Amino acid sequence: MKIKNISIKNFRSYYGTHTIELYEGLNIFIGDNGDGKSTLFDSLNWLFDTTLTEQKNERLISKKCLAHLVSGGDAESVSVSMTFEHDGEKYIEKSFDFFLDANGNLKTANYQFVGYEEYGSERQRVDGRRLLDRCFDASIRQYCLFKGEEKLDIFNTDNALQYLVNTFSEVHDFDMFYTGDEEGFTEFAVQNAKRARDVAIKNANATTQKERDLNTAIGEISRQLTSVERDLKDAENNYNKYDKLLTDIESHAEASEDLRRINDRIKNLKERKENTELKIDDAYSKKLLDDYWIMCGMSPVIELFSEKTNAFIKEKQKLEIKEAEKKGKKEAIKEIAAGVLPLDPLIPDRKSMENMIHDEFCKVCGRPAPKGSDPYNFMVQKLQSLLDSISGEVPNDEEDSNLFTNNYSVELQQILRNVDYMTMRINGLQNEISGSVKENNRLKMLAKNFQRSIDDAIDEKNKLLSKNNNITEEELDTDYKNISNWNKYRNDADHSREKLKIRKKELNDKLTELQSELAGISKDDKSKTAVLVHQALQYICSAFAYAKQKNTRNFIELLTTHANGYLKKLNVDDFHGVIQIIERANGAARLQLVDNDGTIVTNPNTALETSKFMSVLFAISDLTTLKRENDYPLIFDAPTSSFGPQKERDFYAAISSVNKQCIIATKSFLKEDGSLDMPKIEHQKGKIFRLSLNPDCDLEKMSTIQTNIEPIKMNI
Amino acid sequence: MHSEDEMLKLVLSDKNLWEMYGFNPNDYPTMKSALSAEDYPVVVAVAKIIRNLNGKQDKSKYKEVYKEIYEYLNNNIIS
Repeated sequence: MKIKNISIKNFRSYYGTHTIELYEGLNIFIGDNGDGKSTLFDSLNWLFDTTLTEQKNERLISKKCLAHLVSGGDAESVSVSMTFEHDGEKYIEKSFDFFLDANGNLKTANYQFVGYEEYGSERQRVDGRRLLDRCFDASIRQYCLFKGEEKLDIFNTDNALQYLVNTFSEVHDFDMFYTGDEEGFTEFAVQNAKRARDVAIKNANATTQKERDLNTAIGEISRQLTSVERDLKDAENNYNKYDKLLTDIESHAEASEDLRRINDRIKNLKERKENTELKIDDAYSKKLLDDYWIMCGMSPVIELFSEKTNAFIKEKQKLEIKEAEKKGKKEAIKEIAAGVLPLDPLIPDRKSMENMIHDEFCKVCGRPAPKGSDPYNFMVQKLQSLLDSISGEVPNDEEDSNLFTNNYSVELQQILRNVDYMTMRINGLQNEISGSVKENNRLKMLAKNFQRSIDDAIDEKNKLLSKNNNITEEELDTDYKNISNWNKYRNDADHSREKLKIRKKELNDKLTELQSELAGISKDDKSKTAVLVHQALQYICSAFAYAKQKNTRNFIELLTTHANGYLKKLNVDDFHGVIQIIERANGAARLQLVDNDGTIVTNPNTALETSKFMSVLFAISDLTTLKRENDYPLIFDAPTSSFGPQKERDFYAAISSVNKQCIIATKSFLKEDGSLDMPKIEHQKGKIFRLSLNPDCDLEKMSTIQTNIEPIKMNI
Repeated sequence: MHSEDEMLKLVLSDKNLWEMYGFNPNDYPTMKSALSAEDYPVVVAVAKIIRNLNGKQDKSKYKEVYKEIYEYLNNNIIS
């Protein structure tokens, strides 16, 4: 099947009619986020959906087209159609009409899914759903359309491999011969031959005691065999159950270990943060009073007090000195007056002066000074001056009292000494405050750093969890805790299984031996032959069962070989291992990557994981081609989001070399600014189209949104 | 769809079968060679089963085919 063209009309953002002529190889639709890539994919998905008979979904209608509708006016239609080649040219179209009724209500009508195919020279209309199911049936379609990277894992359900084997291998060819549940021919033949054998033996003319014993023994062995087979089946189921659990855990083992490590780190960081926060003592307002920190505000007051007290004391001392001087002077006068203090020899005292006046002789200059003479008058004048100077100035003892009667200055000095002590304490407090603030700031910064590390660890944990298919933390934790238990259970089941297998073989051997013995002693040839025929049919039945199983294994080997061919192409530089498809007895399967040194890659990065799934899809596509003798397109929406530039180049190089029709909607080939990376486009094989929104559209208004499709590179 | 020869090859490659009845599976690569393996009735029986039932989804044929195979083995098998 090759799609020749697709036509989309009024489907969501595809306003109007868009027809795209496709190439039979690679077709790339480049568009940025919101440009209509997914809508293109969804339109094809809608066209290929044959599950419902009527699909008139109003959400599919172009909002821009709706905006142009008039109440009671003409109807418009949504349609997606394609022309394809599949044993001749065929056409399918899915559509429905929509209109506004007289009340302005949106109505849909006239849903159609039509097909056309050529019969000879005529083109006949047929049921579109049937035509599609015939040419591109659902079993094929589910391996052809993929949206995003996370949907690429087709083995995510238990019966996926079984379905794949049933659909694309030829295992059903064996169903007529062997089914495993008594429905195949060989099983039917064994049952009938057994009955014939039993009847033949029973009817033998002379049944000896030995034969009866053998028949009893055969019956007993057969019962035991049935019981062992039942137990073996249970053991197989148990083994498979625990093996699956362990396999799942294995893929999460590394993640579990990482999670445990991260959780330990988070716990440790939280403890350290809490301890640090406990050490922070920033109840500063309490300390204002309790620890007298408020005193630090008193410094200017204390300074002023000291200054004023000192000034006061100085002033007092000054006054006291003056007083003392004054006191000293009085004392001297008193002493002079009392003659305690001798005058200068050159200055005669009052007595000498009075004698000299009386004697009228100046003893100072040694000349007579008669009364009335100038020297006499001079002496009288001097005596008078002396008398004047001492008269009335001799202080009384009563007047000699203290200048300051109170002790205030002493008290002030005492207070000042206390204040000095307080100042020292305030200095101490200031150091304490600054130290405390500094320490608290340091602790707060430390706690903040711890919190940052905790946030980083939580981020790391979230990334780890999202990387593991969004498995929950509890599941990972449980996995980690249960691993040893499940290992034990699996080993027990394995041990039991092996023992039962041996037992089954022993019983089978014994049964064969007894049957042979019975055949040997049967007197009647008929019963002897019946035993041999029954035995032969049993072996033939087992051989068909073996062939059926081998057919499945061959299919898986072929699938693995093809997948590894693609894996190599998709991982030119960064991975050199292989994909293994591990099959379980219950039909489930899982994919695993094994490095070239034999190591199982438990946690591949997303790009490697995607390339693994993609390789398997290409391989399945190859096998569908082999099986159906027809090719089918592969349609991807954003399959390479996790790919780096090199892997993306490898991917497009690989997909270009695949001989398949591929339709890929992607934002690869866009530069960071949203413009086209023309050198890359020129280098790429295939048809390339650009999806973009109409430049005049307003992203806030859905009624203006319109996707345009522009061919960029048509020269293949 | 398997060809009859492919199916025959797969069935005869069962080790238990060829060891039990002592034939070499490589000696019977085709239906024609298997149907004429007179020394090995089991090989002929396998070929007859494939020939008579392959491609048919009709269980009503079981009895008829069983009868033929049983008769053939009954007449030809030896211990």
